[in-house]
Amino acid sequence: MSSAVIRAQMPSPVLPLKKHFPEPGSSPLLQLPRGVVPGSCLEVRPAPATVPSGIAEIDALTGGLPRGALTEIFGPASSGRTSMILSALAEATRRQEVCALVDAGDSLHPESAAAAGMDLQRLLWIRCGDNPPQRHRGTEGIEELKNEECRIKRQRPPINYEQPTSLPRMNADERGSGSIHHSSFIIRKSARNSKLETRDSAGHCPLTTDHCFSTRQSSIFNRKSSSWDQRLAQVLKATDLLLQSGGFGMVVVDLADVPPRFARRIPLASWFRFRRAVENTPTVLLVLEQEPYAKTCASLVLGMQPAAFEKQQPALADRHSALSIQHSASETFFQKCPIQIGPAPVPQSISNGTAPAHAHILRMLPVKAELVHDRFQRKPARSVTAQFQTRAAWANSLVG
Amino acid sequence: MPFACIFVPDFPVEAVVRAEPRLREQALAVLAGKPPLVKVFAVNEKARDCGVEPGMTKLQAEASSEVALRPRSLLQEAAAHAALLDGAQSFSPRVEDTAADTVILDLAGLERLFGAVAGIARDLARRIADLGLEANVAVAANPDAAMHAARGFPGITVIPNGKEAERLGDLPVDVLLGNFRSQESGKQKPDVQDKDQRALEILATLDRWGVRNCRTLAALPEVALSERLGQAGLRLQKMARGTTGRSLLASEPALDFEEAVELEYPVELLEPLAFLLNRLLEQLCARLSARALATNELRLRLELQNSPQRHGDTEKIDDFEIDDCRLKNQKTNSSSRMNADERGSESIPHSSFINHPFSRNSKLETHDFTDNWQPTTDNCSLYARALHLPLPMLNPKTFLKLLQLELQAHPPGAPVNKVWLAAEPVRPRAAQAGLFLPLSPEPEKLELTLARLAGVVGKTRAGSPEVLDTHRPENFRLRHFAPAAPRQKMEMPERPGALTALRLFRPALRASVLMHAGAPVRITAAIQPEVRGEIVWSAGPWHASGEWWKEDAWAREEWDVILQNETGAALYRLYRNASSGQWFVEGTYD
Repeated sequence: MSSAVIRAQMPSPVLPLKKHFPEPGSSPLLQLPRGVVPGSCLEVRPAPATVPSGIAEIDALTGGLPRGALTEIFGPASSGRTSMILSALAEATRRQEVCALVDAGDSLHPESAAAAGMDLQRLLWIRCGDNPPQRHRGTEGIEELKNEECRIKRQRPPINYEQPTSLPRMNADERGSGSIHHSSFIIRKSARNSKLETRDSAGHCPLTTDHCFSTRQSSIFNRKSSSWDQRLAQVLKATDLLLQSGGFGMVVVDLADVPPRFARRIPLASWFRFRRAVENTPTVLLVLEQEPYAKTCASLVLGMQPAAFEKQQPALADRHSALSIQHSASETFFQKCPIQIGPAPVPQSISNGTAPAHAHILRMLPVKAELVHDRFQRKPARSVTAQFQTRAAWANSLVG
Repeated sequence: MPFACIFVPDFPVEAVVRAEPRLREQALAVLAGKPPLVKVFAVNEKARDCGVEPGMTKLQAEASSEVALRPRSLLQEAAAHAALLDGAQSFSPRVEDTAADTVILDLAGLERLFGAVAGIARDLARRIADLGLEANVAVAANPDAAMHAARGFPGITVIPNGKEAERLGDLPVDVLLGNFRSQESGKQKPDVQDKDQRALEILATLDRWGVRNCRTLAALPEVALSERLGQAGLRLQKMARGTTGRSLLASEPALDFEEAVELEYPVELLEPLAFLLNRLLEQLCARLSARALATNELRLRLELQNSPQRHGDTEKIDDFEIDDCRLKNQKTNSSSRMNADERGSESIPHSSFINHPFSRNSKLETHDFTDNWQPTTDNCSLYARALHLPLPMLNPKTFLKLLQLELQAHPPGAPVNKVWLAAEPVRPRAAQAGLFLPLSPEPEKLELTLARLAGVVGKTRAGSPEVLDTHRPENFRLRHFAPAAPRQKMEMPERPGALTALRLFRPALRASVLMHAGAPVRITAAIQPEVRGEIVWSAGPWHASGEWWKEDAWAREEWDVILQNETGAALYRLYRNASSGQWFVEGTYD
């Protein structure tokens, strides 16, 4: 507003005195000049800028993902969390924004991300893991190196006499493990697994393998605990660095694989710091998890669950309600049956449970999303939910 | 046609001061020679005031406690000379590399760009000061007059056209003899001692005649002078009158941006090393800035003092890097030799390095960083790192932080004796940000963030995924994250809609699976309690195999299953390794 306009709206000093001092009984608000807002009237909070998530049902439910705020998406496995995140990232990269994914579980499947339409060149993927780089801390001298060497020698585990003298050759899948403790774990189990294979091939022996690894379970879980702590420390550091760096359109923190007992240890101060870091920036901060951890620091909380798994009926007759299934491609080709997208009619043979497994194919995953908390809107009177389906990547090729 | 000359008095001292700026306010003497014959090689004015002169022994120089003594560093002198050339090149493309401490440049046509000649001289002096050197600048109508004025008068001197004889008249004859000797030697090519002897003879003769300044020499009758001193005498007289006419031997200096520092005592900690690196980076960036260039690659080399307790990993890195460096050295040497050949000179001539005042401009030593950069003793080894930047940058603070992070991730592992830093010159980035372009991180900040992230999770665990053209599982690789600049016109490709994503377990969970009628009915993954229970639905098997012609051929059969247990139901992908028969849980559909 220009100064000339302000001067025009202010009362003139030569106005009669009674206009400035209203008479008793009359409302003082009525006496204010036009255009002057009384201080008691608080400004209405502006609606945050939002970006589409790439799923129309979610956008209709939430109005989009808010910029400059922390959004939590939680749910169990197979609840469509990752699909939604990939969809949001794909949408952001379509807008040519630079995105980052802090992956605590190192679980991103790049092929899925590419199939979701994401521009992978604009995605910074940070894979938290068990083998951080060797840092040279404090006094970086020779003495420090010597101490480090001595410490490593001291920490070297004692010789395990259970290990076979000649190590079996690891195949390609086992080599992908990367971490040292895992490979040693595989070696220890090799003898027992040979027994399992025998029984599998026979196919008659009921499998009760729970006792097989009981002797090693405790040590494995101890290692896993320290691993998760280490990964969470990396997640917090990496997220801090990304948010301080600025310029990212979307930052996703993937804690979906972190067991809640570890993720709950993240102090509330960290969440508050993240929230403050993204405030007044155009960055969308998404956190993917099994249950909400950020509490009031989150501006939007979305709960996800698989729509058909609500009843959790393990009966064979109900398994088809969970998934839309249809004939395999080869069978369809030979029978020349038209294939439909969506809830396909289940063939009688399959619904009876007599169809072979290779006659099935995963086509879509129905998902139910619930708006748990939205800081920018009034609390809904009752649960607000939306349902949508995620399609398998090969569904399109089936249609063709 | 005006010419400007930049002359750095006491060049060896200035080279040392450039590396240690705090010595500028102190009396400083530079020592040279092998023990026990170490002598004072060059001094600054304050040291002269303290009674220290070139040629004194180290013991004599140490008698004056106020004088700081430093060994002569050819590396630093070469870097200072390169900086001098860069400063001159930033003004004019026609630059003559006259001597290590002297540069002459052609100012013809520069008035339109930079203003009056006096202003150009001031800017030249300021630019050289920014590069860490204090220089005299003189402007005259011919190169020799400008050079004599720069060598004789401190500060900035501008000689108007036609006033050369008058202004040069006060200078001592010594100033002329350096240049005179170089021209004589250019014809006859005698050795250095003969040239020095000839110059000494002429100086002694003139001294006997009572000719001690240029004005007296200029007033001598030409015929009589020619009879006594020959053509050399006549040329000397022309110089004293400021009437010599010669063309400038312009050279194109190679774009080598290298800085080095030799340490008196080895540095053991990263923090003091960071201070040294900061100084070198500032000098490099100033030189690059003077040439309107930036860099996208920094090469750091350290000469380490070998230690019997060296870290094994570091040694491996060093060996690898040394090989890499040797390759680069060969390339650099060949390029520098080519440049030298093109210039028509084999080495950089030095003028004021010799004790003798008349032995200036003698072509003494070859200064090539890469040739010189070999371990000085058998007890030393090299450590090298190269920092590749995705974009041209010119920010010493960013470079320093990146180098610090690099050194923290890969510590040298032994005390450092010498530091050598080089920058690859490239054209600076020219980008115009648009108002309506989407958000993207600043390249410098992004590089720092990536380096810090590499320090947190590992260098190979942060980047941009790239899907490879193969059916093998884990068919991707991580590339350095360098997002393309956003385009003005946004192309919005069609999205396929929400796809069911797969979350992988890395490594895949080893599991035991119970089969019934050819399909899995129960699964147990030991290290993941959630992945255990009855399979209520399964689809498969989908057979996949590939690269059977390689040693690491792979073959597997995949299953999609719904697992039901007390925690709920979830979709998983299992696979069985065809070669080993082992079952694994690859991931979950989410």
